[in-house]
Amino acid sequence: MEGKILTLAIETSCDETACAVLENGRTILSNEIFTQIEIHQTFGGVVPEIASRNHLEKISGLVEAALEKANATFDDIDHIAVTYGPGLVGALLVGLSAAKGLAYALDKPLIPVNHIEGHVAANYIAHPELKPPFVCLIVSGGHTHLVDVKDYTAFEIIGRTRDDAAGEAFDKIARTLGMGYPGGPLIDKLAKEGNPHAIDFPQAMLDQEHLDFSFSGLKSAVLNYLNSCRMKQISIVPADVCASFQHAVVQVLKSKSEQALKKTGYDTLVLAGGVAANSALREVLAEIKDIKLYYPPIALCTDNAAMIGCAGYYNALAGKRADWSINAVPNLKIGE
Amino acid sequence: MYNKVMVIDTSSSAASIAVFENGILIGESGLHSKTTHSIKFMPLLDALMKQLELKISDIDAYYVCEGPGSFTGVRIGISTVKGFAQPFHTPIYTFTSMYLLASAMRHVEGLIVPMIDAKRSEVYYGVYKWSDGSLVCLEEGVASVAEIMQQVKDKYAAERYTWIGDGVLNYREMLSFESNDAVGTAYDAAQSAGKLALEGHSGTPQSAFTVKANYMRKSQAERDVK
Ligand SMILES: [Zn+2]
Repeated sequence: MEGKILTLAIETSCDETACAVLENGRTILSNEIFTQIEIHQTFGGVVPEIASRNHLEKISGLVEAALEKANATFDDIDHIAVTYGPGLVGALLVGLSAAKGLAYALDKPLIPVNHIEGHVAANYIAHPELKPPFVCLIVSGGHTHLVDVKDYTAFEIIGRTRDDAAGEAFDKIARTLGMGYPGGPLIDKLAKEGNPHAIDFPQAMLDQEHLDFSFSGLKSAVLNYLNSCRMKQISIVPADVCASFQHAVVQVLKSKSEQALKKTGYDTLVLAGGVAANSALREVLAEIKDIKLYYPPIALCTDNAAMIGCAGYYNALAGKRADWSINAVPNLKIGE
Repeated sequence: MYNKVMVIDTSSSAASIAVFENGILIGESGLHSKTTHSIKFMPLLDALMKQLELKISDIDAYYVCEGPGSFTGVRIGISTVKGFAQPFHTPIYTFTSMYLLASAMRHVEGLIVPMIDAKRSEVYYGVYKWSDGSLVCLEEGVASVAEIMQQVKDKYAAERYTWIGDGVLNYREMLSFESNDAVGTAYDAAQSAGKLALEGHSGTPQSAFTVKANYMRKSQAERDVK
């Protein structure tokens, strides 16, 4: 392993227990995930206590599997990267404590990683030529941000949601339509069969100068529409509702991304986060003229440890290192 | 018998670590502050290990409190120990938080009843007694604090009871003590449980892959579903 830097990465911020080994930050040697989605489906959403319990049972096995797949031993590892926020505090603490235990036992540096910065880094793994600076649109269950990525470890939030994250709106509407959880992929799939112009839902803040988003108005508009249909006994076409709702969301995301590119003067737009897997979003962003658009493959859009390892590698190069008193930070902001 | 053993408890607001060498306590450290375990526990452990001039690779076995108690606290202790044990395939033993409390009550006659506040007027409880120098567990469970005292007395009819733990302190006005009741004070000290465990009452060894927390009840969401 001469001249190569190996990163062992651990991620437990929500309902995926994940561990990965990366070589020189951008090459995946292994990327193991235990997804708890099925366990939480019974409850219609992630139950924090159940997530934490499952993380604790799975964590060591995933570390072992990641090393085995990477054909590496603990001795080969140069440092251990771990997500310390944002996320569910109890869930984060399982991964963070296990990573502390391993790093302490092995006498290797512990590298703290912001989960959202990990989502950005997923693109470095997928696109070897990609380098900062660029504008990154981060859309996930809990986050909707436009970020000026100045360097591998220098971020500035230039636009954010003022109320709900886009992903929350997807989940809420999927639940109301009785489609299940998680809402994003289900709505994306059904929307393909619907007419995006069937219902005219509001596209909030399009006319504003700033780069912030708002989705609560749209969410309420969809819920009101469904209610009034039921009251008036007008039949609802779920595919049309999904397509029209999704259209309103992606048009807002597109227009704010264009504004951000204009403001920063960058020619590169990078998509990150769970909602980056949304096909309609990818299509409309591809319509933006004269820019380079990057997004990760679906497997790297959702939570995984490889992206944490990549972000951790750049954090380590920049000299970031956690001490033993590092705590989980459930509402950690990007760039902090 | 293991040469060097580390005993850990983070199941309550207290954090406690003890290290034994050939059965003899060589170092211990504890904090009874409200600071979260994720901040205080590792620095406390690191300082103790530095004083003892020991590394994690020197430890031959871990004894860790499996709970019940603070779910997050228990998980911090167990996940940290998993991290310690995994690279060196070190065995891990567990003991309950009731055992931990009872183990501090050496030379006490009659029954020892640790009660740990499980919130909403419930307690995790245990019934223990000393027999030829061993601590024997008669039962453990979770029960309503209003009923458990009488239940234990009806069942065992012992001459003397010693009630310990934060369940006794927090629900004192709901408990009616009689002349054969004593209220004991036991701090969660890893060293007392460790000492006992080393004397041979330790159960089956687990590994980083198999060791589990003992929550003693299902999560709220699972109970609501039922
Ligand atoms: Zn995520």
